Order: sequence, then structure tokens, then C-alpha cells
Amino acid sequence: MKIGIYAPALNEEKHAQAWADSCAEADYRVVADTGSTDNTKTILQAAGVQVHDILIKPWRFDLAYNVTMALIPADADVCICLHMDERLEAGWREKLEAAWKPGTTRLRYTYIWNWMADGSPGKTWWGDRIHARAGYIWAGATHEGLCARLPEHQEMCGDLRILHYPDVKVKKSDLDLLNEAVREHPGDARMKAYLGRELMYRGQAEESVRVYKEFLTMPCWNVERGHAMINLSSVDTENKLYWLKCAALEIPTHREPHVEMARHYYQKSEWQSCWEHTQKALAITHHPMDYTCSEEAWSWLPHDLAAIAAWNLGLRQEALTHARMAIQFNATDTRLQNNVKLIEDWFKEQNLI
Amino acid sequence: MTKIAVYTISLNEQKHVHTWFNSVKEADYWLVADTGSTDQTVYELRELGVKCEVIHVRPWRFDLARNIALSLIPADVDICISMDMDEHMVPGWRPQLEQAWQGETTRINYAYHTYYNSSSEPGLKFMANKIHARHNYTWRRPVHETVYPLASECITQVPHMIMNHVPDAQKHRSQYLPLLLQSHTENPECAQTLFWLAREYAHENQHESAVQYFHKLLQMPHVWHLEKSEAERWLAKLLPHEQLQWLRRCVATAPERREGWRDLALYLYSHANWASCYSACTEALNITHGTNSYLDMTDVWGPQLHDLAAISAWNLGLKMESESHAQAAVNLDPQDHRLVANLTAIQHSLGKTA
Repeated sequence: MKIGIYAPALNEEKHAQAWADSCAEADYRVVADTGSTDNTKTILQAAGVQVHDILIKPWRFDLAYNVTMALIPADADVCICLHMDERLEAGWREKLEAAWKPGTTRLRYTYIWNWMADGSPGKTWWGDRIHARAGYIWAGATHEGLCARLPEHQEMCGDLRILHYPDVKVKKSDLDLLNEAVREHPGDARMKAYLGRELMYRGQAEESVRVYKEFLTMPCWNVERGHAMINLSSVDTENKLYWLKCAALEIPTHREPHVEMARHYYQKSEWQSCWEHTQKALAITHHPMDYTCSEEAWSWLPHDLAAIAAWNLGLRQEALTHARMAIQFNATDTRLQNNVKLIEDWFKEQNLI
Repeated sequence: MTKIAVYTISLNEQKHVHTWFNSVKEADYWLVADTGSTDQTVYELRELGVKCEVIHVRPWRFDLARNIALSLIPADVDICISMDMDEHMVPGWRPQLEQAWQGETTRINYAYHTYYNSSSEPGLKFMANKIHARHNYTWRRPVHETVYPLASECITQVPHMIMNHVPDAQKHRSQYLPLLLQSHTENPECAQTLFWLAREYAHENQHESAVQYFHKLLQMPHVWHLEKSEAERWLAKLLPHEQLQWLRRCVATAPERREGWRDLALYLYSHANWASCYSACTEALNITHGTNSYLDMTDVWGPQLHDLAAISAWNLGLKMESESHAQAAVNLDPQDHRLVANLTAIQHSLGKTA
């Protein structure tokens, strides 16, 4: 089996060496440099990576990815799109080769998008960028997706992990590209959802609500509908609870709607409702592993809210249990540590510990 | 100084490499995206100093391959000339291009001549538009791909700059039909794509599908009238029982094209309808210029229309008119013995002797 790794790059010198090292076991490593002015190219070339200069103006992501993929030699069987700020975890090749069956066209793997303060995995989902050499094309001016043009057969390999180390940088708005993508594919629900979200990020609440409502009339994945409803709850604040209740019905598999409802009742000091929703959230134990999942809903937040609600309801033991759970997920947060201490102090005062 | 790049895609083009390169060696940069040649194309191009990158696009589509080639052109290039390997520039193109390219120019339209079957005369002539600025252009459509502007355009016409095309008759077009179907699926509202799809079915002798898609095309709004007339011309060929009806529609749709009138004249000639035939020939011959579109056929500028006019005039007893058309036909093709014999016979009956 021949494996080709590909990525576009722009001024990635701080990542270049680690990137090249992490995929050194690949047969081909191809980078399309889109105009770096730092040492990205020199570092990559010294590491044996095949680097091509490309220029796409006006910029669009799907074309850059398609160009890079096309530059992988034709005899590659499997391609991995690995951004410069992503790393393949050691042992990846063996796992990939074991999981890739005859007829497989795409391999899903664990993708860790960010990290908690204590270094444990944050937002995590099933990545979808390991694919067969033929039959795939990137589409979308931005929020590009890898679209199958032949029948797909997917395999899952949770042991294979791609780790993302995002730079803390101000993300340039891609509203223009998103508008272009929606114009090109008015029937593409996902692009519409991305546009609604971008408008939400920019504080254009009214526009965001309009776009999201249009999105909800389109056929699409229920998980993305649920996610849209959660976002609507933050831009259409008059109807906050309505949207969160809709989301809970839409995605009963996800903790997020209940965590948001718990947060809402916490802000209103309605402790009974807050407690109930934390318990509903925590009763969902199977992580859906999609990109809409929020890392806090799957770690410390529901426990934190549960601890505070329980405390205010006089449920001291439950408060202690949840407060301790919260710091298990987020050990460095001083507020959470203090909460545990306060509750433990109460127990000590009562001579219960 | 203006930097000019020539870019193309290639697949087993060894026999074209040198002719193509020699015609564009005045360019500053050459970029070829080879899509999997198994002959010496890549080697020979690199020997000539051409930047040749091997690319692999599956499933195949022309727009993506050309966009890849375009993206590999360096950033400091000003003008990009898109070519195929079976095309070549007529000498003198560089000064012509530099002179025409003014500050505002973003695209150049130039004369494009296609030569079929080693003929010395172009079989097809039109103004092509694949010379463009480095930025703000992209290719679209999986097949019959087109350069689209992504910002406002300033187009300069340079009719004296010529790109020749000598198509490879051996190249099969089997991939066109599935790509055109894909193109139509992606852009169901695009009348031009539908026209090409219907025409491809006709080329592939799948008459029923061709007729079906041509009919569908004619129901669409905003069909370019030259393509509409061409669709009607095709329907006349595909539906022999409705031939006259479609030819009449064709000339009504685009009376400025000789092609429809010529086909109509031929039909009327075959039905010995001399008055109408003569009239159709006259309408055609009153047209003095082609439309400069890719649908122009060069044979309508040959002797045929004068020949038909001479025969129909003769049958109407218009001997003087018959002689003048027969003479015009001979002037256009003095080697054609039948035309010469007709002229001689007419002159003889008029009492003229050679």
C-alpha cells in the first residue's frame, strides 16, 4: 500500500519540521505552498517533502486542496489530508494498514481538534480526511468538504489519531467566501449553516437568525439542525428556551442542549431546573464524536453546573461528588478547585469527613 | 516587462511537443500539467526547459485539470495563454499580444483556426478567448471547459493574432458524454451545456437522446440564438420528416448565419423547388461576414452556394444570373471539373464560347 500525505501551506515554519516528522513514514509527502515568505519551504524540502508553489487568486480552499491532492503521484492508494498544524500520532501507518480493507474508500479516525487546559483531549470527533486516491473531490469555497464521487465504503479506526494544535490567532473572517459558497450551491444546507454561524460570530444576530431559519427549512443532517438550534438560542434570545427545547428533541443523543439549558437556569438561579438538566445531560454517556460536540459539555461543565445547583438545593453529597468530577476533567481551574474546597470545608465543619 | 506564460494539460502528446513549443518559445514561462502520459511527453518537455508537473485527477474533469495548471503558474506572470498541445501560435504573436495588452486589459480575444484532415484551409474560424490575466479567472465545467472572470473584465479584440488548431483525428471522445452529463447535472439551468450534451448524443449517433435534449433545450429561456439555430439545424438532420420545418425555424432564429440558408437551399434543391432554392441562396450570399462564433462553418464560404444558385437560376430560366453564379463558383474552386463544365454549358447556351 502506498500512502500520500498532502497539505497546502502558508508561512508555517514553526510547524513544518514537526509536520514532516509526524508523517515521515508516508510514501509521498506533498505540500502546495501558497506564497510563504518565511522558511516553510526550505524546512520542508530539507525534510524530503515535495513542495510546489501555487497561486490561487481569488483564493478558495477547495481548489487549493484539489491542486495539492492532484500533485500526489498516481500510484498512491490512500491519501491523508494533514494540515500543517496537525500531527499523525506515532504508529499511525500500522494502524491504517490494518484498518484499510480491500474496497475501503474512506477511513474514519479520532480527530482531536483542541486541548483542555490540563493537556487532555478537548473537542474530538470522527475525522474524515483519510481517503482513497480516486473518487474524491474537495468542494466549497470555504469550509471545504471532501465529497465522494464514487460509492463509498467507510471503515472506523478509533485508535488512529490525528492531533490538531491550533494556533491562537485571530481567525480571518471568511464571510466573502461563505457568501460565494452559498451563491454557488444554494441547495447546500451545510454552507447555509456555516453562514448563519459566521454571522453569529460577527454579532449580526438578526441576519444570523434569518439565515439559520432558512437553513432549518432545508433537508439536512439532524445533528446540524440541532447545532443550529443551539446557536439560534444565543442569537434569538427572546426564544432561547424554545430553541433549546427543539434542539433537545432534535438531537437526544447529544448533551449540549441540556448543558445549555442547565447554564440558562444557573444564570437565573433556578436550581431545580438547572439540576435536572445537568442530570439529563450526564445520562448521555456515549460521545457522538461529531464536529458539533462541545468539549466542555463532555467534560467539566455539566459537573460544575450540577455541583452548584446541588449545593443550592442542599444536596451536599451530590455537590461534592460533581465538584470533584469537574476537577478531574479540568484540574488546573482554580475556581473549580475552590468549589471543591468550599464544599469539603463544609463537610469538615459538620464533622462529616 | 510584461511576463507571458503559456499553460496546457497533456496526455501522450509526444508528437505535438516540438511544434507546440516552437510556436510559443517567445513566452517567458511554460507550464504543462501532464495527466499521466506513458510516452516521452514529460521527458521531452523537460528537455526543452518546460516546467512539467505530473498530476492525477480522478474522477477526471477538464476544469479542475486546467485550474491546477493555472495555479502552478508563478505569481509574477501578467498574461496567461491557455493552449492544448495540438494548438500553435502563428509567428508574430508576442509583439501583437504586447501591443494589444493595455493597462486595463484582462482578456484578449484572438482568431482561432481549426484545420481538419490535413486540409490547407481552416475548417473552422472564430474568435477565441483563452488569453487572460493571471488573476481573477477560473475554469468551470467538467468538459467544454470555459474561462470565467471572477472580477470585472476589459476585453481587447485582436483578430490578426492567430492560434491554429490541428486536431488529432485519432483522439477518441468517449469521455465527453459522461462528463457532459455530469456538467448538465451540476448546471441544469445552463442552456449551453445542454446544447453540447444534445450535440454529443448526435455525434455518438444516439439520435433519440439527441432529439430529446435538443427539444428540452428549445424549451429553455435565454438560449443563445446562434446555439438555438444550430439546435434547429441538428433537428432537421435528425428528424428527416420534419426537415423543412426545422430549417425554416433555423433561418428565422438566426437569419444572419449562412449555414441555415445553405442547408435550406440544399433541401429545396433536392426537391427541385427552384424558386425557393434560388431565394435561399440569395439570402445566404447577401451575408458577407460570419458570426465569429465557434459555430461558424467555413464551407459556407466556398463555391457551394453559388453552385446551387447557378443551378436553380438555370431552372428558372434566369440564364444571366445562372452564368454569373457559375462563374463565381468556378472562381472559388477552379479545380472542380463539374463547376467548370456547368459554366461552360451555360455560356454555350448563351452563345458565348470559351
